[in-house]
Amino acid sequence: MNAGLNGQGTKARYRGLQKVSRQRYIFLFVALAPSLLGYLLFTLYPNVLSIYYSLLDWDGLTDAKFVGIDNFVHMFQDKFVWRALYHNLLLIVVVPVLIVLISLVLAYLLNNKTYRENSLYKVVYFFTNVLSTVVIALLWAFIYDGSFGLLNGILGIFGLDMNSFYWLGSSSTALWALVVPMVWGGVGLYVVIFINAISAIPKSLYEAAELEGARPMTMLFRITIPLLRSVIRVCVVFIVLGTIKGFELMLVMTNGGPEGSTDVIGLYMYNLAFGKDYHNYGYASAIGMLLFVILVAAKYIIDKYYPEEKVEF
Amino acid sequence: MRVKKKINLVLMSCIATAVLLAGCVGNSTNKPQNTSPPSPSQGEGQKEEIKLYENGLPQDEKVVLKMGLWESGSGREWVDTAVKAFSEKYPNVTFDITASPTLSTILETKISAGDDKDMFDLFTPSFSSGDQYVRLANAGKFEPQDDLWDRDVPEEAGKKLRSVISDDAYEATLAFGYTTRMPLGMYTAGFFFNQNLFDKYGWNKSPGTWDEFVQLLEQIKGDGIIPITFPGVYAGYLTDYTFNMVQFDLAKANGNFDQYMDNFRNFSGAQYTTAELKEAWNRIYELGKKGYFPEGVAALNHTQSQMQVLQGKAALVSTGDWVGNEMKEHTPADFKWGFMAIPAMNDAQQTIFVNSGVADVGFSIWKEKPELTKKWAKEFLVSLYAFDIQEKLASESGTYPIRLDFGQDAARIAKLQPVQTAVMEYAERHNVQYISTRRNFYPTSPEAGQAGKLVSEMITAVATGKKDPLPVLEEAEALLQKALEKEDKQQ
Repeated sequence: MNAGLNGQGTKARYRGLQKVSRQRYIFLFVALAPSLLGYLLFTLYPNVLSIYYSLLDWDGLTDAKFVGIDNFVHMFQDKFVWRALYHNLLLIVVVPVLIVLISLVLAYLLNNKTYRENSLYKVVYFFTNVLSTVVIALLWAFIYDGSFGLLNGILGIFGLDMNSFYWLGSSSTALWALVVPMVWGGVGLYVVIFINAISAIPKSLYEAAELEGARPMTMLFRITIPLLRSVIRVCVVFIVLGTIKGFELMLVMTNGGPEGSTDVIGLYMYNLAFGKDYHNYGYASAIGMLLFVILVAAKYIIDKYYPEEKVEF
Repeated sequence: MRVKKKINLVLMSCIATAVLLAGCVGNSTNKPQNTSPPSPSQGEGQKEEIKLYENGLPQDEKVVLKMGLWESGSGREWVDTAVKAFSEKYPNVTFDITASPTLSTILETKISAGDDKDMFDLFTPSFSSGDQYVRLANAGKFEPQDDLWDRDVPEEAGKKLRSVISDDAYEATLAFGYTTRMPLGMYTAGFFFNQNLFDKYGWNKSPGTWDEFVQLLEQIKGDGIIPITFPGVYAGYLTDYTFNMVQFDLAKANGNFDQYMDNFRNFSGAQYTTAELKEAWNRIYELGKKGYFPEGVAALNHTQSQMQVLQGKAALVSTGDWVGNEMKEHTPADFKWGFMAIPAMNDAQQTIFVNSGVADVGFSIWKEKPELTKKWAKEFLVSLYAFDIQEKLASESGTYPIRLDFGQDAARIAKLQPVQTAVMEYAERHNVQYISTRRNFYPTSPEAGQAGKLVSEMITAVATGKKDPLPVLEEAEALLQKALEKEDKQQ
């Protein structure tokens, strides 16, 4: 009798568990389906389609011609591709380092110095992140203007007559001139991320260090930065990948000029697909594939040489 | 209760997902059609009941014409006037206008999507590059408008549309074997300047020979002003609008213009290394070495370069005649527009070629549209030839109207904007020939793009005297010929 009751109870519990499990799956499906579908439709599908496009000679409007791997063969012989990648490489070396360093310093200062205007500074630093890239580009284009630009005006105050030098008009200065707005526009977000990460570090660690006579710089390099490693790592990944594929500033400020000195791989690809002179979606897609491989490789390299370290405190 | 709640929750989530999916799938199936195509299967008895306009189109069938309008420096006022007049005359026809300065992005996306229903019925064929238009025209994507040539000009019975269009414009519209757009106006490009500034310094406003032109630049530089500016960010403004014309001037002077033009239009033979084009580039280089272009020109955008002329920092800007309308808010009161082109030879009687979109202002009609929609779209195009609309085109949009008889009335001429008047005055003083630099096809292989990029990238360097153009032209030629070879093989 008891065994029968127990058996029924077990079955009921089993059915109940099954029901809960089914409900959980339904909930998970309902919760995930819209975003998964959106991802499949608007991200994965176009990307997979790009692989097919990269095998075509196609202007985007009229009938396409299948050309096999011709676009890829041409791509590796295209000096503009290599030049653009070289510019990307220069930017990858400089931009992430500057953004991370400046963001860290600002975040550290805002966390450890009790300025009265601290909250105002946070807003000010984050403000650049709210501005659209086009606004940043136009703002800096005016700053760099040879005739009326702020930069030449400020240099003039210090006795440096730039003789109406156009910073974006010379192939030797244009790329480096673009680094400044890239860093300026990028710092705000990372300052906020680092401020929050720093404030999550227990105060007791600093108090203990202080009792043992540690100086602020020692605390910065021995406590703060090591404990921020994983956050910095994520930020570096974001900045490096963003620097490789970003081209909006170049598009608005120089369109890759002068003489191609600010052409980057994303801009070259964009102009091939949507530019004013020449259209070939197929070739642009092939370059898109190359860009995809480079992005994956960059992520792999960062993972390999900057492994994730889990820190508990 | 709890079970019910859960069921409701799941159901609601499913409905939300379904709604989202429905939104993603597209709206074309549920959307009511914007037009009612004529039904050929309508009974004979019904035909008698249909009220028709004088143009033979039904009065009772409501039609919405979806129009894509490129809202450029020319504005949209003239179109609004035309639309209002047309809808008053034909109340069953209304317009759904999408106007944008970046119409090309909308247009190309719609065409790429391949949904004919979603496509505009009629539109300004404004594409991100001219080759897109040529490809679509060659692919027969536009409704032929040839039947309109035999139509009467509005309110002038017996006067045919063909009779009020120049032969040049007519031939240009037939470049692809059929009329892809009825021309409504034309633009010109060249050097624009402030006549008052020229008067102030006593500069020659209308040099008739190459030596006079160079002498003018020398004088301007001597007076501490930049002789020629252009937007270096889009450096083609210098070559496409002015210096590329030199090759045609030279070909004309050499007596081989027709052959040269045919080669140009069809990519026959050398393109970048013809003696004429090399000479044109060499002249930019020589002028560049003398410092006649601004040092930081590569950083100048379209507006900045035009502002240099408005502010008197530069004397001449290489651009199109839309500059007047585009910059009218910023044009000082004491500014008077002037125009000149490059006289390539030292013969005062020479033919001076001026870049012109002889038939570039107009509307195309998408071919895969219901017949009734296309008929009404054509009726609208005919209505744009009325003098009051052509006057509006002249006075509000700063476009030179296409009708030949527009100039027969001094009152109408007075409605032209100052820039167009300046071009007209220049043409009266010189032996001007307007020319469109369209090609009959464009090669698509990557080598062609690379060749174009090589050439366009060197413009600012050549114009500042830093780069000899000839080796680059040779390299570009080799790439282009390779592209053309590929094109031949594929065909």
